[in-house]
Amino acid sequence: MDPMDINNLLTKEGDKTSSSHRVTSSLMLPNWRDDFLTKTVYHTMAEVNETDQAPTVDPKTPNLDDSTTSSQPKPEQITTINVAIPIPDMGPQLQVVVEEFILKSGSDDDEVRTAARNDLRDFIEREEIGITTLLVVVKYAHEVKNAYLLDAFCERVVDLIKDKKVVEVREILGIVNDFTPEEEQALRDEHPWAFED
Amino acid sequence: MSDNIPFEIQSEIIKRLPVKSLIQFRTVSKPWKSLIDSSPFINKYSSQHTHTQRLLITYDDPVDSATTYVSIADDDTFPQQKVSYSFPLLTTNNLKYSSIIGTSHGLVCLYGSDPIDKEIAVVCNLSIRKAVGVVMPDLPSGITFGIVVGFGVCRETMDPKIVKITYISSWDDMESISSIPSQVEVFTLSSGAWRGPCSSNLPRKSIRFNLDSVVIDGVLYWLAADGVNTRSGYNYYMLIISFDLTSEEFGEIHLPDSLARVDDYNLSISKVRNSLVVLRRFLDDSGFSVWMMPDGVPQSFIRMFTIKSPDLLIKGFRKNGEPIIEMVQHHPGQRDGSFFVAYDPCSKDIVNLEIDVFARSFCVFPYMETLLLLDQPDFVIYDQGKATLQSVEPSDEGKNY
Repeated sequence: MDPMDINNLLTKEGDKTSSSHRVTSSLMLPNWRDDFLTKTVYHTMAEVNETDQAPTVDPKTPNLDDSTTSSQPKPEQITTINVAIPIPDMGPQLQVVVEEFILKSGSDDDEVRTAARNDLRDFIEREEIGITTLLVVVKYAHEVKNAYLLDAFCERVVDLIKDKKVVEVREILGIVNDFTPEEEQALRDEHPWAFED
Repeated sequence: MSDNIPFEIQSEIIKRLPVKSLIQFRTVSKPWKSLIDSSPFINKYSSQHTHTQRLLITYDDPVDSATTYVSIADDDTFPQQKVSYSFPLLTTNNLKYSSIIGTSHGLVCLYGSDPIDKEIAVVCNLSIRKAVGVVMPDLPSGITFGIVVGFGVCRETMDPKIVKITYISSWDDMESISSIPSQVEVFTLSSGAWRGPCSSNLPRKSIRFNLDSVVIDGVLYWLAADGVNTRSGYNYYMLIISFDLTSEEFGEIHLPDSLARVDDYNLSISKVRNSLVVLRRFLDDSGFSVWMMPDGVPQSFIRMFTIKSPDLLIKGFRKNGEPIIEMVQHHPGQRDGSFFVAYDPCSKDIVNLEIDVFARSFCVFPYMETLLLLDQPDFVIYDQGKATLQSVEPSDEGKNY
């Protein structure tokens, strides 16, 4: 029986339940940039130091409760560029992209946010950003608590290091090997299949 | 080379790595090993849904009859990204006549006989080559009672559990048997022991179970048959019995009449994402219809589509609802061969899974890579509550593991 015959054999009854796609009517995108700029207030450094303190983070207990799915930042969360944490040097082109992304991710409009995410992902895929720079963005995203930015750049770092050797990963991330050679070999012996090349 | 990266950030990267990388990168540094080996990390990692959903395909190789395990990424690249799993421990030397009785959260549970003919369930993590054996408690002899065994991971605690249910096989015996011994027993990996009989009993002693179960979101489901004794004889009907792995309570789901009255078809049970699916197959092999109980709308089954054709078997579903179909081809003078395809009833696209056409015992399960069982010692067998390390026997091929 030719696999294509199956087309003649199927009758579809009723609606197939599919994951719900919201039907959005086409909207005129508001002129978000102008709107945004009128709503944005840039705090002076003095005001920021008083009111806008980032919570301290304990390096020993990584926050496992951080959302692993890219949750949308609530619209009221990020409407200002956080001047207390200046954007670090990441090359002019990337800096513009990241700034735009952060601005748009504060938008009330779902379509603007979605478009911003797609643009970001496309940019990351197109440009071969070096790991050092990726890590700069990851650190920044972590400090300003932009979950989607963190997720997008962490995924890219993961893609680049997941197939590398252990020594290379240490070098890239600046990690000191605190195992003795015997300890390290004992660990490798626990899962020998993972180290066969 | 770069500025010191705080461990907070390193852990953001660690938790997004695939399983094989995690196993290798345990040796990067002591903090990395501590994190990866820790139970909170293992459990959180294994319940993350951002990891790609996959399909696990198992079949017997036509040449050497060894069971082959392959997983395929169930996304836009389907069916190109295939990963083969090799697990020497599961050779037929150690586990005879085994079949998969369930998968949950990326763990696979096999059931069969060990080398000394004790019945044993083996819970496996194929991606990290870890397995745990669980010897079954005393099983009833004779034909009065039947048992079914179900497997699932409790969604709250990520604790793997095995459930053994005893039921009365024959309706002729129903009247004479007042209670079923060891009706329900549950094994939890965290305790390493069987517990039972459980406080929760079967809704009625007249219920007979079908062998296959599915687990959805920490609840096990079986097809079952029950009968009402009327003056003109037993009135049989099919239903679904559920067992919640967290609360350990039974529930019942009633089927619409077209499914409940089993005159000329067989029923089997499956799932699509978190929705229960019942497949109705006509006994004269003229086709299938697929019914679904949408997640969140209990007790209401919708007929999704019908396939009118002989020599077609629905083996499972992709996460988007497309059935995986085995199409049997008859070769005169030779063994039957099969195509394995995924079919989209809406667009009518067919995708060939490219599996050997003479493969036997083809099965499909939803699957994901997981770290569960990483914290278990190697070669553990739980027998009467005691964990014993199975001696490592070299397989016939002399592989080392």
